[in-house]
Amino acid sequence: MSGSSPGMTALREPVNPSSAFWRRLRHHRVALVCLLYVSALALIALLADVLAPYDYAFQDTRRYASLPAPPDARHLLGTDHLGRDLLSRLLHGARVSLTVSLVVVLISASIGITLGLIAGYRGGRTDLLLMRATDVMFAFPDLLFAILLSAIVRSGGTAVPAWLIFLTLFASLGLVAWPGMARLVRGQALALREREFVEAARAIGVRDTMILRRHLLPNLLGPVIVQVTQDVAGLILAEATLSFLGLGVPPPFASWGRMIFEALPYMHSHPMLLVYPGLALALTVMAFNFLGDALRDALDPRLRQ
Amino acid sequence: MTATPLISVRNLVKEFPVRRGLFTKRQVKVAVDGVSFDIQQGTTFALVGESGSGKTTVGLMVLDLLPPTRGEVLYAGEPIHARKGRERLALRRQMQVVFQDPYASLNARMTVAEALTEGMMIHRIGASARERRERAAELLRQVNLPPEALDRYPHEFSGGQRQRIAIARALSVEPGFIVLDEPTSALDVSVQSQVLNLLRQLQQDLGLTYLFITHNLDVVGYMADEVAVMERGRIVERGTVDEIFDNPQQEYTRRLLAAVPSVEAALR
Repeated sequence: MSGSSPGMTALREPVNPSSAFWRRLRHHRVALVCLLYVSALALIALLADVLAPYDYAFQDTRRYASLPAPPDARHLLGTDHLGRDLLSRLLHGARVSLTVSLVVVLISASIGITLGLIAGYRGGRTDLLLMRATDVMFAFPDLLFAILLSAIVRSGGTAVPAWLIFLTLFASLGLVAWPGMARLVRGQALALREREFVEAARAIGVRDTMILRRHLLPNLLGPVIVQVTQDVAGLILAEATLSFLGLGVPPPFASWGRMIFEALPYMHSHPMLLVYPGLALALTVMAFNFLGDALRDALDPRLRQ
Repeated sequence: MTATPLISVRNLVKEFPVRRGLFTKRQVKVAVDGVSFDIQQGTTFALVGESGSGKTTVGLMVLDLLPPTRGEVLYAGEPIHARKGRERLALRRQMQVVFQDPYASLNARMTVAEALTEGMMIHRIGASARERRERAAELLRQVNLPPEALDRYPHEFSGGQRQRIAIARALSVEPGFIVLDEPTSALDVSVQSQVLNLLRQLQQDLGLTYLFITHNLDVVGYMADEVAVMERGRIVERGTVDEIFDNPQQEYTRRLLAAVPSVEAALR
């Protein structure tokens, strides 16, 4: 070790803290598959315009009118009842599903983390108040709230602009999806604030807001990432449910839930119209759930082998 | 006689509410029950007792990290608990703490440099980031760690090394008084003596005043000028180190003395 005088204690060789994490994750086959799937899906969502052979709203009216058509050379998965390319809509559906769930999770996680941190660190009456509010939100029928809100917004009929419908979707899900995160973060913060490094920070004069930002938040990122991953799975499903009820993304946008909704009348004659988006939905939700579990294992030092 | 003591603790009481059933009367547990003592500038005052005797609670109240139920703490003759805002912050710079568990007392997500410069930034020590970093390196030298440690994370260090970093962090804001809450209890015996020697050296070099909290009477003999023995929230015996060691008055103190494993031989 250069530059150290003889009386000093020698340091160990540097260890990369994230390498152990990646090693544990690599040994988890299911996790790896899920990670690949999710990455591929993200890529599809980003490049949907390039990858999809047609626009999601393009209607090939010359050959396919009023009824779904089977696959052929021009439309690999066939077309729907409006002559729209199914493959293109499926790919664009990935973009809608991921965008909606990511935006919503950003909103709900921000609310949940903030409230959880304050409740856990402050304790006492603040904690009591915030946690009872969280309990109320837990008992709150989320989907009914979202349905109600979008129904109100949509009462304007076709005059309602698409961006307002999207905004409603983000808000209605984001404002009710935070209690799980709030509880998780509160529990973590409650444990962390008793740790001596937090006391030491207070003793040296670090302000409460900085303690939350610099000392608590970075130390609970692991569990938060796990929770976010699993929240995304739930939100993809929630968006699909709303779209299936005709209350999610507005037409002509393609969303897996909306595609299932539109495929219902042709369930018997053209079942594949329903199977493709259903499969995409199921696989994606499953991948995010498994990924969450695997991340939990990989991040938990107690389960290390 | 003597000058104003640096720290003066007067009739300190801390009660914690105990939650019972919904309909029973509110009850309190008295953790600290009327503790008083003075610490003279440049000396070490040891607070000794078994776990649960209330000694750590006293330490937290002296540091103004926990409000006392009754009583007061004076720093250089001025009460500390009434302070707010800037005055309180100024006091934080005067009094620092080193905790028992070196694995819990450092933030795992902050490098050593970040941990050492955080207090400097708050108290506006050092004009630039570069100057603060140089000061941090100098602090590491003072606790016998190489400057390469600056960009490492806590998990890369041994327990003894971490405790040195915690000591360097306490020194980073140039305090006059440090509460040492069982600073060596979690360390190997061989490392214990190194850390204790370091603390004594620093006291001599920097003129520090220590409140040394421990359950181990043996290290007290090496470190302290005066000793107070605590039992169930009260000080049951006090005196100079020699008085306590040679002629313990209380049965409790005798039991503590008898329970001591001999590290002292290794130290002397």
